[in-house]
Amino acid sequence: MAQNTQALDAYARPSAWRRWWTTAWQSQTPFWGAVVIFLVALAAILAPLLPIPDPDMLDTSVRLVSPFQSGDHPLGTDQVGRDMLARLIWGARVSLAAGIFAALISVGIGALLGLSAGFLGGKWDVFIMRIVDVLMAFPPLVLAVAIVGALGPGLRNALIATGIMGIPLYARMVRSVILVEREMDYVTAARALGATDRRIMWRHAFPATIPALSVLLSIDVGYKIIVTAGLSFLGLGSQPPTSDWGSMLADGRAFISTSPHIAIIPGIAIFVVVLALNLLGDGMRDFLDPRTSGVVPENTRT
Amino acid sequence: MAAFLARRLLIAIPTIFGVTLVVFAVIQVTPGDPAAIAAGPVATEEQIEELRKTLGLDKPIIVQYFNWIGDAAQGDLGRSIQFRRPVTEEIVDKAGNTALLVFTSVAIAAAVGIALGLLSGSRPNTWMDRLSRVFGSMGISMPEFALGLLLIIIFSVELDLLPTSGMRPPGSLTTEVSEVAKHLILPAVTLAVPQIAITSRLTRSSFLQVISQDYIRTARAKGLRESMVLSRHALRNILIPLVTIVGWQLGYLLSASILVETVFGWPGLGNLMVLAVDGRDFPLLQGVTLVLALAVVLANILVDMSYGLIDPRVKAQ
Repeated sequence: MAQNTQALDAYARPSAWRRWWTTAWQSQTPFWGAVVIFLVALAAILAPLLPIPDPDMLDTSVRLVSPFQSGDHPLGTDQVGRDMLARLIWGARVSLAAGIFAALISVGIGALLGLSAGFLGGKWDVFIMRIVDVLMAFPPLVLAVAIVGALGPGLRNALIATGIMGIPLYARMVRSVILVEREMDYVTAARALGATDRRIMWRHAFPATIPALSVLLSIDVGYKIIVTAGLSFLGLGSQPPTSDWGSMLADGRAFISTSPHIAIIPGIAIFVVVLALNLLGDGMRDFLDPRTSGVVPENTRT
Repeated sequence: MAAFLARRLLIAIPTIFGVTLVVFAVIQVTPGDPAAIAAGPVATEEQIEELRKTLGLDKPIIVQYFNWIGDAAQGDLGRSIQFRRPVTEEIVDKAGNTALLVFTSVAIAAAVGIALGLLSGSRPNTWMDRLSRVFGSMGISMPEFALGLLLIIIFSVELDLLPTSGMRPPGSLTTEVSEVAKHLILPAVTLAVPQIAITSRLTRSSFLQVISQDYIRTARAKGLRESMVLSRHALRNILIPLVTIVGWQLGYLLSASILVETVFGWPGLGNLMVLAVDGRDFPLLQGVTLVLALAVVLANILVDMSYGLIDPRVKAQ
């Protein structure tokens, strides 16, 4: 009996990962998106080992140096003489981690709610979808600002807020896939073999949502980076001395007429990383399209 | 139409109820004593207790919730701690500015986005199409606050064409149209850019879908000029899916307006919300959050109703 259900598991698990990469390679843009993300992530992880100055070291003798002016500071310095390149790389650690963690909160709770609502159906489904509808009614950043406002500013609370904000999207998406999968013959077959509900849910139905989930996740990590940076820009996210790209931008605001590079450099960094994530997500969507069109929404940034 | 509206409002009631519950709950998780916060840092123990009684904060939480809802339904959202005036007045003062900003950016986004989408949809896979799709991907990846600062650097600092912030010159009470318009351009464009990207993408895919329909072939076959085929037969059908996302986009726009209004010092609801958070002004925060969420619920009802006006087939059902 156990052997039988295992054989079915092997069928249910998507074998698409390898094919994605072949397609991504062929259509170029998703591939370059992946390369950019890999390089930025590598720089962020290796930050302590890289030959860059301490990002928090003040040096008032070299304040407001423009980029490409000094060999010591290739991207210039900020208003208190901190090295911009070092701040950018250390800021990447915070911004990337924030985007990923916030997205994981959303996907964790959202997928669980969507999975249980779709699979169990009935009153539970109605109840969960009501909650989802209510959360959807809030403009996402308004909800996030209200939550951070209530809990108090700080990166941890900003992550909780952006995480909650994304729950409805995942819950709806997973539920809609599960509603289709539930009726499939392989689920009936697994049930006939004596598999429990829980086993069917996790080993058979859930893997079916993974392709669509990963497209959404890729795009959503980008959006979460924008939102957490936005909260930091408003002074609600990371607090000094920790800085992410959003708080770097906020620092640069006061100096845009004399030293615009302080604001422009982190702005470009956010733009490039989010663009790369979107290209990767779009590439995956194009690849998956025939089956998931309609399930994975266009990137509408709601 | 009236019956449809009534039914739609009925469906919205549980959502509205849920929204009020969430807004109320969010403020409840605040660490600290709300009465002490409202009383200010120099208040004595007795003053705090007295305020607790006046504000009804000594009652059970469920009673507090229904008191709040009852007052809110009558337009009373409490008093702002930092501005020392009713929250409702503060919101009414600022709502018009946010509406002006949002509607201007929707108009810009619709005009530019639909034009770009038609242009690239009618010439698929040409350089024009590729270029506008690249712009689409870029527009969607640009954070508004960074874009806003970039526009300030280009148009205010370098070219000195437009003001950096505010709504009208400080000190003057004149609301001359040209002054407000000058202050409006940069924030409205900033808010419009990501939407241009979304609108043009959607118009393009909608165009490609509609143009392959049989009735378009029929229209061409009977010898109609291409411009007539597009304007009379295709355009309306292309626009239908766009209306759907306008409702969604209002939520997104109100989100983004928090950042855009902060960057440009635009005196609207987003700005007010940030002031409420900075000043730990919870009645104000609660009120603004509620109003913004209800605006989205209302917008979605209006969108549902507008289907009937745009697409006669919906009315028949």
